[in-house]
Amino acid sequence: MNSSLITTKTQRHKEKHYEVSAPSVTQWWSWFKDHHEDTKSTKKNDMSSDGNNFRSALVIGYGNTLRGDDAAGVRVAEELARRHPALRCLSVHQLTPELAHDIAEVDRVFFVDADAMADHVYAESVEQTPARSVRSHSLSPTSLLSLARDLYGHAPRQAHVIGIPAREFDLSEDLSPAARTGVAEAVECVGAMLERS
Amino acid sequence: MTKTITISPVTRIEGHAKITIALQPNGDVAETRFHVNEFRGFEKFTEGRLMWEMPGITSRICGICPASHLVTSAKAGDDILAVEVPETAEKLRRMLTLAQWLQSHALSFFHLSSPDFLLGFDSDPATRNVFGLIGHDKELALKGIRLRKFGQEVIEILGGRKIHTPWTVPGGVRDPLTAENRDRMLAWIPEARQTVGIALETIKKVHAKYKNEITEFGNFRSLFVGLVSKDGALEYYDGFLRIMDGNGNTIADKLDPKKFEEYFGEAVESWSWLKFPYFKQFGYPDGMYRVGPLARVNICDFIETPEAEEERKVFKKLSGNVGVVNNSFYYHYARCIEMLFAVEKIEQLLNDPAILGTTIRSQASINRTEGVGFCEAPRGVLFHRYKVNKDGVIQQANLIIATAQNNIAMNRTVHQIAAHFIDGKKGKITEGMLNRVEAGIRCYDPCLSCSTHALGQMPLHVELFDANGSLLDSVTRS
Repeated sequence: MNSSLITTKTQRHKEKHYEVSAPSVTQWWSWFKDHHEDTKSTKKNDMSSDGNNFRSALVIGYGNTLRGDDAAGVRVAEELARRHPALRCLSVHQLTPELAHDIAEVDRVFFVDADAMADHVYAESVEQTPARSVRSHSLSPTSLLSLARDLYGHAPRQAHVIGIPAREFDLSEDLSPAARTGVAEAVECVGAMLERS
Repeated sequence: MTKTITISPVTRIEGHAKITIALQPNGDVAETRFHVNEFRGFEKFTEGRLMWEMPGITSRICGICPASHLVTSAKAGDDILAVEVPETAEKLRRMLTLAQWLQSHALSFFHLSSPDFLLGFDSDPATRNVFGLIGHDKELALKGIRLRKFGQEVIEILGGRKIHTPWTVPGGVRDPLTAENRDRMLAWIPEARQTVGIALETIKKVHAKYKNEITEFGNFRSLFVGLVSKDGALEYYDGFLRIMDGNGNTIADKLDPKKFEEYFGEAVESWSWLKFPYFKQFGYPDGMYRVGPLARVNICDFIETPEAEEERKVFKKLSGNVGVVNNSFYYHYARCIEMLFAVEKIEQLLNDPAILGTTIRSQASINRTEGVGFCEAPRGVLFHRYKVNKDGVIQQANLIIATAQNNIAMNRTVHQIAAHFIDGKKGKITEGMLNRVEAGIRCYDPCLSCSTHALGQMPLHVELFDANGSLLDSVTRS
């Protein structure tokens, strides 16, 4: 993956501040097709799924599946699990402390979540800085990485938040069109990032 | 005119809530309110769905106690089918219920509340959390996570990784337990016992250290409500309702839980989405009652496992001559006793040959148009009532959740703590002061879940107003 297409949180906010758009999925997809025209083939995916990149990674999709677009992260994890049998995918309601153990066992982790503020799918590096805040029964990706490091002595080499545009959070088991498109794109995005790294 | 302090949202509880404290001109507390800002509305959402879907739907209400909704919903389905659940299925459901207690209580005790106890209510808020706990006692934090993981593993073994897939179904359960999986769970027991022992030692030391907080954290007389077995033992899956007053007198016993709406009403206040259940006989708000660990350990005559029963006897001595432990700070102790009970009882169930039985589901079609399910969720007794048509389509659903049942008591607790610890004359919000108010709420471990958590939606904003409504102080936690 072209590293310039993965932004850090700080970079992304800076880009917003200066009104420079973060790389859009359209941009990302165009770049991706130029470099990996055959990646969408099932055969290629199946072969890749047996590779180390997939076995050493963890995808955590989280959200409330009764709350419309909040389910987007869960849907991505479910689809990735279906496509890539070697990839460990967890679908959870929220991030809880015991996930630190699973995270400490991999080299790369993807936190996939709905984002009410996003207007496109993005892949953002999670800053590997010590987190010191725990607000409720649920933790943040940064907190979980810190927990993995502090408790088990190991945090993944790379950690990403995959954000999916989310618009509707009313009680529903359906995704909005924006979230539905975002889920499909995020599945491709994570798959491609794993293929390339 | 009064001053108003607002704490919004309350940290280290689930969901969205805030606290406002109105002060008199002289700085004394005039009124307090624990607001819940989110409307649930799940009951309406479920209308038109098939009764068979309800366990799978309602278990997705909450990420913290899905198994309790799963069991309660399936029991409402049993009632509609008018079936008796096979022995093995009931034992497996019982084990699932206890695993839910263990998983939830471990999170509450080790990671949400123990930073207050072990690091101090006045310690640096930046480190008064699980990370500070790791710095203080890494082994304890690790053991807490492992204990929660044990509960989670039991749930996953029984229900699959996707707990929201309805393993517990009307009539029984979907799959039997294998000997291999039984042994996997049994292998956890020694470590779980040891960890619970450490938790009990820890909380007893805390009692000696925080006498002031213990005196003021929700120390008032109220009713206590929970399930007991037919012989009076601590119950979690079936049994009868018992109501005890704040003097230790049993004022109602062997009540049929399926008739809960006859005994309890629900008041509504304009400033909170969370309803205020009360005991009808005493009216609102005098019919205030508490549910959950403190109530359960208070009202039962005994606990059926030996070590937990020994702890219950020690617990009861805290009541002095009153006969019932009225202080909400002791929710934590009761929670630890229940963790011990859960570990002992899960071991008993796993060693019961019936647990590997393969007759696990009673088949029937719709035989009643109304059914009620109930069980003791980690935070208290939970009820589901469904009305269905002849095809099993939900016409009406009513869910009474445990956290709501503690609503009046939580408000009373906030008032008591605020009146004691907040010095309104200074006009400043201090972390220690706020945290005591929040910690009072955390005694109940309220779960206002059912909420979305999309990125960037949980700020903490606190404001303090003077008697003229002018802003004196404002605190935002990132």
